[in-house]
Amino acid sequence: MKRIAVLAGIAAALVFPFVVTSPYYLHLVVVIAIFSIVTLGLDIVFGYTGEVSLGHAALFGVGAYTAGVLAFQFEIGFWLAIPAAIVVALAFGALLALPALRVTGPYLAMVTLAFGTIVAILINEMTFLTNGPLGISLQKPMFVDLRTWLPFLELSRPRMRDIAFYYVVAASFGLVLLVVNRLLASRYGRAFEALRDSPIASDCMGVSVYRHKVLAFVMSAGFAGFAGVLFAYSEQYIAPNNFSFELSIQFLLAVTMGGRKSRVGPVLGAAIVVYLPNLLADIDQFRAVAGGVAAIAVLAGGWRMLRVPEERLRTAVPVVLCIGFFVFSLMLQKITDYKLTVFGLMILFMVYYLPEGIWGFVKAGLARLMPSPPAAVARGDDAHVWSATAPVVAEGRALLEVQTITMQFGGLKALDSVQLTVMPGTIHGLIGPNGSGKSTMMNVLTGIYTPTSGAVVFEGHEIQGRTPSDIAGTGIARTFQNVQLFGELSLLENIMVGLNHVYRGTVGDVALATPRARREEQAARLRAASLLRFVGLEALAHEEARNLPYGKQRLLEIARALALDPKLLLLDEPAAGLTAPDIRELIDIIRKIRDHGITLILIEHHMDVVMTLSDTVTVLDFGQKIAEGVPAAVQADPKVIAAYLGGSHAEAA
Amino acid sequence: MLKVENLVAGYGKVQVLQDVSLEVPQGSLVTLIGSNGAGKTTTLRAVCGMIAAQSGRIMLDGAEITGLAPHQITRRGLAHSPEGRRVFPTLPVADNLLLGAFTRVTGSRPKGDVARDLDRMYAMFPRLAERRAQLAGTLSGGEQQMLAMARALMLAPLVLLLDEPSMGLAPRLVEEVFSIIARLKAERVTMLLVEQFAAAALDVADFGYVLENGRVTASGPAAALKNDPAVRAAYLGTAH
Amino acid sequence: MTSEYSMQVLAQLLVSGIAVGMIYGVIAFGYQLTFATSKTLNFGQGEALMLGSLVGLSVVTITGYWIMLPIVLAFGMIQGAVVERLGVRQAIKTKSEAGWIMATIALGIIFKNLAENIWGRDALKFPSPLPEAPLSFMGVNVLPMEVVIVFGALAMMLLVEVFNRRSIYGKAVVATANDRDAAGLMGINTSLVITFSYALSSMTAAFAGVLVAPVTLTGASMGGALGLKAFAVAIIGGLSSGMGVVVGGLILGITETLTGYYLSTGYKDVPGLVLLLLVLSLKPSGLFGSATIKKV
Repeated sequence: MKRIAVLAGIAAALVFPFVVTSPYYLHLVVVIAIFSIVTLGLDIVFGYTGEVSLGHAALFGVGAYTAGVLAFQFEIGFWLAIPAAIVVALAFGALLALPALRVTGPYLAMVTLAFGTIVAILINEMTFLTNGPLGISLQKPMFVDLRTWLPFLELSRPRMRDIAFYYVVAASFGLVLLVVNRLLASRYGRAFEALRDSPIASDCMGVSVYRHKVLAFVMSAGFAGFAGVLFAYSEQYIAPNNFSFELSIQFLLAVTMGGRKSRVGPVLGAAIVVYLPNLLADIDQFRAVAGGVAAIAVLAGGWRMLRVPEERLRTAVPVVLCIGFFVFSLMLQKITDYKLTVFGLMILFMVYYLPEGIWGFVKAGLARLMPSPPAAVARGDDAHVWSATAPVVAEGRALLEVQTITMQFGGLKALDSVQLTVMPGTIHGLIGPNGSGKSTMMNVLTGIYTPTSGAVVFEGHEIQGRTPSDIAGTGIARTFQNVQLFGELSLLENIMVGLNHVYRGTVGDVALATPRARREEQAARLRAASLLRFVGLEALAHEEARNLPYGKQRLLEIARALALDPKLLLLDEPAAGLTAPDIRELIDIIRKIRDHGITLILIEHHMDVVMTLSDTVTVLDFGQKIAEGVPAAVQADPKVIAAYLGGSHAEAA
Repeated sequence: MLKVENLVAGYGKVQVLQDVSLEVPQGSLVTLIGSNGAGKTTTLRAVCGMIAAQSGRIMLDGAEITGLAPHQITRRGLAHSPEGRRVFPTLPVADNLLLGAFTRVTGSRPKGDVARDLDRMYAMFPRLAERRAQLAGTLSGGEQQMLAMARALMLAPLVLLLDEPSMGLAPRLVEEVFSIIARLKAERVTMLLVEQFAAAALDVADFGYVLENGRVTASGPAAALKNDPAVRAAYLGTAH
Repeated sequence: MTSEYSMQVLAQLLVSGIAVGMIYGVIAFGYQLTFATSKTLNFGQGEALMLGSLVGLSVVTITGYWIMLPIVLAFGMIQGAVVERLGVRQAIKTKSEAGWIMATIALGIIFKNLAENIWGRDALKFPSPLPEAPLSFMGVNVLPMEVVIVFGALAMMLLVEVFNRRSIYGKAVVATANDRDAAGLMGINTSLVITFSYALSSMTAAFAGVLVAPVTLTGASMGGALGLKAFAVAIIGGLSSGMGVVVGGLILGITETLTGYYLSTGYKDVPGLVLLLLVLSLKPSGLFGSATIKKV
């Protein structure tokens, strides 16, 4: 089905210039393809990682001007301009993303907005390089351009005609589509989705949120730069005001309107956005389209009102708005004055009523009409559950040593000089009443909190103050008290995010689909399926994680943590909310994990679980360690009994 | 005074409360006990409107409050001292207390004598009086707990919800918290108490409910529940 | 003689830099107001300023400058509330960062376009309430309006601060900023507080608009650049620190006037971005901001 669509697309692209001979429409399609390259790239940032970039027009402009300046000042042509522009755009992307993404919040949007303005100013001001407001004219590229190396050779260097250039752009577009598709289907795409669903869990699976967001933005910048070169040669003239703030908004609108997180959406959006100025230049056409939209809204809204009567009022609002918009279009005399208002209203409408975009809307409808066939079953086996290299356990030396850790929040001491020694190959129980500091301890061990004082020594190295993803990389995995899965990823993909560390292939491998990339992906898939099998979830491999019942979500978290090939596994209340048979299964799984040489720290309220499993138990109360020892001794400790019964009620029991 | 009927609630697609019904008569202290993850805190959050009930009814003083926003429920006289205290860290102690009486000062609840109540709180919690100008974020855990309870009391509420007031406190402070609860009970403040220390809670309460996997599995006068062998085994003798 | 002259130039530049910086500061202060309560901010803040200024221009001819002020402030509050209701509320509910960013940008575009249609596209002169002849202090020329800008901006920020610290409603705003859920439990209508914070934010922007207009010019396109500069200030000073916006504003204002004079007016907007990137790299929470602790 997909294959047919792809072949049909290629065929259509090939014959298009012979069917539609009007140079106007040929040019329109070329511009749509160029814009699509930008929006496909932008979707990686905006759709997948959820960051807003208001600087893509500027990055696009940087690409175009790289081509322009190379041609204008140095007589360097199209073919060299492409790599040069990509490199320059990548560099600017990194310059923006590295600082702006260090903090969560709207910083990237603010920084890229500023960048857009600055680029416009610089292009205007640096006349010696860019020819300032006058702009740069270019000629269509040559088929073969050897001016740089063999200037004395007077080869006939024919320049491309429009149709030839069309094929260059079409091929570029196809290439970008292919590469973006590969990237997003790879571990990178999974990481981008994962970090949006749960940044904390991403970091704790060794998938650094920061690094992946930067990567997404830099890649996206590269695509924008590439598109810029094509644009410069397509228009054969570039000027500073081609790359204004409004263009950035148009790119964003294209992605939103077409539909995020898809390949069709950004292309569809680009087509609409490119055609939009024509629409807004002609009042009659604009009225016709506004009328058409109103008609569709009335039909779709009416149908929905019949289907979902209780939401009648809420459905009526957009319908009335659409009709109002049509009336507005009839009242307008001169459309050009209100172009931007229309534009703004479109954005508002999208944000409110079609947040998934046109393609998202269509896709949801299609999915209801014809449910997708069940995906192939993932098959795992017992041989691939565990990492090929078993963790080496150094006998007699502590795996983890927590040295007088204190964690203070304002006046509150969540942990107060706590010492903890965990021997390799053991299960170490960590118990205590609610709020006694157990979860804080987990967060300190995994780098989510940096302790106020004290040290955490893992395998002889101090790890406090390092980032969670770094610490995950050293071999500490965890689960979460309030389950942190990647809800929109399938079970299999959840685990494959945990397997991110086994890949050696680079972005380049993925883009080129090298044998190494394929091999690694297949191996990871098998390993992930085997881990699912280990926790008994193999049958649900392609289900979205958020649809799992609570108890199974906890098991999936354990499997995902195991994918990290940890030396130390921290389980935070794995039995909470589980039924008795589930708990027995859990105990079994935990034992097997230990038998494979993985050391565990177990936080748990179910005393029977802790006491049957643990080799050593540490008891925390109000942030202090009050007891430690073998389970039986701890259970008999009066201080522990007092802690669990609260104050003077110790005697009552 | 407070009545919950067949409450079903949860987070997203995960249903935590399957079917919870309970009643808090005027002037009584009712406790809700159960293991971690049983749904105690979720029940309180649903009652005060922080999460929406999927079905069931919640009645306060004879009127239905199901589906109202938290601030609307507070304006009808329900106070909540939430899990984890949630004091306003950048405001001084005195302002935290004053905000407890926000609805009274701004006129959506009978005003009464706010200044006198403030003095009563300082009398009941002398530590807060010493620190009234200090920012709440710099208080110790025990002091923050006192502040959270005093702040809730400043509403002069019809019903007071207390969520894990002993959480993370040293044993001495836990005793202090329970003695304050006993005092409030003596003053006939209507309270619903969620506690992990089941024995202590049942000692001070009039009536108790046991919650398991989102359902009420046992209920009765606190003294009777305390002697119920099943309850004893499950929640009172955990450390044994 | 030349060195004395250049000292005088420097002093002159500092004075203008301070005035410009205070304007940036007061707009950035508006960003802080909404960011504190809702972790969102108005990407159309520059347009709020522009609208305030143009409405002021229309009113000032009827009422005179001083009576115009309260009218513009009231208009600013309404405009801010509209932005929150239309652009932000929905996005807060669905926790969509892209949603509020896009929606506030869209509203900004619409406001700008409407202003172009009402007041035209040209820059307009705003009558100054004070004499336009500069006062001279030791050879440094200071416009009376520049003095008003500095003190007006400080007074506005101070007033809002006093309101937040002293009145019960102001405390409700701070409580909402501290912990929205807990504030709701106090009986505070937190979504109304967020609307209110947007109203305040646009009010300060509108105020900045009528402060700056007599010195510069006014017009539909005056907002964009100012809103952007204030972004830089908010990031440099920290999105959570009142002290930060004043200092950040002064830093940016002075750097800009110096760059404009010693390098070229064309480049005067560049140091803002450079400073912004530097601060984000070295101290991401801003010069005066405190790092927040994330909770699991």
